[in-house]
Amino acid sequence: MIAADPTAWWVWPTVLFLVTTALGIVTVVGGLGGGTIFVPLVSGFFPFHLDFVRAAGLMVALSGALSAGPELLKKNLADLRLALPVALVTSASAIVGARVGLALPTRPLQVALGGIVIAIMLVMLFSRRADFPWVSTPDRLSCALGIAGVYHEASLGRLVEWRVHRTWAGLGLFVLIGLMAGMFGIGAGWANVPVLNLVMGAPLKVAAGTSVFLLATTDTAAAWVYLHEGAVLPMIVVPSVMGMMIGARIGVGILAVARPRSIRVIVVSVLLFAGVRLLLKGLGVWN
Amino acid sequence: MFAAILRGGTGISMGALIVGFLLYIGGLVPPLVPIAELPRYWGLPAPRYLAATGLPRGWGWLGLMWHGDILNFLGIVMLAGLTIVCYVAVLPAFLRKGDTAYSAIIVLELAVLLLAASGIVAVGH
Repeated sequence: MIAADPTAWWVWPTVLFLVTTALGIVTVVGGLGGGTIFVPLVSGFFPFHLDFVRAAGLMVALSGALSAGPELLKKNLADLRLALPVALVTSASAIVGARVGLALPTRPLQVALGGIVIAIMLVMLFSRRADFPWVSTPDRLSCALGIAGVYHEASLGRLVEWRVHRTWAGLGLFVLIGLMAGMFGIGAGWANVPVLNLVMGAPLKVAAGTSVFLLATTDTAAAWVYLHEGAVLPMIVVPSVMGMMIGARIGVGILAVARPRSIRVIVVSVLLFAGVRLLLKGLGVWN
Repeated sequence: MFAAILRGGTGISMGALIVGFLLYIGGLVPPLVPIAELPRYWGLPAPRYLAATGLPRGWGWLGLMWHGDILNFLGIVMLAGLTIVCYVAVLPAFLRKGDTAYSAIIVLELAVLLLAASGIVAVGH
């Protein structure tokens, strides 16, 4: 039995477009990937099924990554030698994650997603970052693959050489990151950057740039699975992608005058609220 | 080269996405699922949505391209296929350099992405 919804068809897509435009502004100024906040917020407060929201979240994250990619590659901030082995691991595990996510019932997924969103919020609050981590001895695998590089650090006015260590540990963590990205449709920038930066020792800017490249590959792999399963609804995907793109452009424009600290408080509050909402929705407490 | 393809491809895909969507919501190309009925379906899980609307899984939508809603998949597929095109484009450069390890990684990555794009790894409810 399919319930009739008395709301006109254009109401929710219009609200979605306006909300994602606001999200685009907030995520750029707050330094967060769009998918991370999109999926919990939209699945928590919009009438769309989680399947469609996850697919739209992947498309939002993918579009953002594809748009940012060329500039990052040009500035050597997205390093192919670092990204390619990691992307292979994350994309393969994202396919498995997408398959598992689409096969699971909705309520346990909502509970798990709520818990993960609250965990992301805690990572945002408490994780430290190192601009130029010290790598005394690169590991064997990174040496064999030649993972190292040089980029121009504008704040220092000189070239910075970098190399990485603990590559196997990093790849192991990226298996989990890919699984989560595919299962929940969230972009994984919040996890990519700490692993590349704190575990493997890549400079923060290289980690952030390479993370965008990784998002493009990981989300592509998962998006195809959702597409083939009929979970891509253009009426949800297109307003979301367009809203996020327009918002991101506005966000870049106001970046210089915005107060990042205030924006970060908003982002953390929204994540906490959306996470709790999803937990309660999944548990059947707040439907 | 990777950056150039990304830049051009993203612009073209976004253009296709916007044009397709305008044709769809403007009613210029009639959709397969009537647009006013969408609120009845978007709260359903994907398998039930497909069953209720009669939409096909996998690549079956290609045969229904003349419908406004299905037309939107063109831009979406272009976006989702862009990374694959980029990997194909950079492979010759790594092969020319004799970089066997990275050439193998790119070939494996292409196999993974093409497997996902083929629909072979679909869940099947």
